[in-house]
Amino acid sequence: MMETRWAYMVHLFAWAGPILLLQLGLVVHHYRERSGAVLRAVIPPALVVGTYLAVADHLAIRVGIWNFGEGRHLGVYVAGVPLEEILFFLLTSLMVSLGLTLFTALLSRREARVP
Amino acid sequence: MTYARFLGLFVVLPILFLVVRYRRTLSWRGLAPMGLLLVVVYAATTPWDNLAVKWGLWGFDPERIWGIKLWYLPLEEYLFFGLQTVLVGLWAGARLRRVLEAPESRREPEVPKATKPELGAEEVAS
Repeated sequence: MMETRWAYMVHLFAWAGPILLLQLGLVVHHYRERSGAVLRAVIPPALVVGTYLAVADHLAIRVGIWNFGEGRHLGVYVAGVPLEEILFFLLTSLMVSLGLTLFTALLSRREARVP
Repeated sequence: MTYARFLGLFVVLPILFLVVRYRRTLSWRGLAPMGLLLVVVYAATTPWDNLAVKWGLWGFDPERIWGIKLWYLPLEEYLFFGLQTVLVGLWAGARLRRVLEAPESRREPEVPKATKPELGAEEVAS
């Protein structure tokens, strides 16, 4: 599987997919009826920064800071950036946003318990 | 352009912008969740990114990195995980704080609509 064109996509989703599902589940479990407002607050920064980094990535690839293994990605490009790379920046930024939301919840619960 | 210059220009500069923008609300206590998150980010991303390079999914131009490598990754790549976390975290954290500090108007359906504060738009404003 890691020697095919699906290698990058599989590597990305096998890692980020379960983490994002778990994070979303925990956010909804903790924030309950406020989940909608919380997600509307933290998801846009992740999507904007993810898109911004994908645009910056266009330059990094063009000047050759990093490169991609031949035959290890689908070969679908948006302005020279592999589709998997765009998804990488969006999914990692989403994991950061949701992770921060969960740690904020965890610390506020601990603070609430301390008299 | 080197990887380090890329980080400075496209990641560190926007972080500095956010630090200035949120300077009044930033505190060490408020940054604690991001500190914990950074530990998890490094624990989760280090093996994943190293495996990707080991398997040949991507690689780095030796001429454009400092040359300090830990396993398969250049030092700059490790800096990138943390800086991306700070960049997203500063912005998302500021918006999250605003929502969590807002009165929970939706939990008080008995309040007549006319006197209910209009929070919907402000809650999500960046």
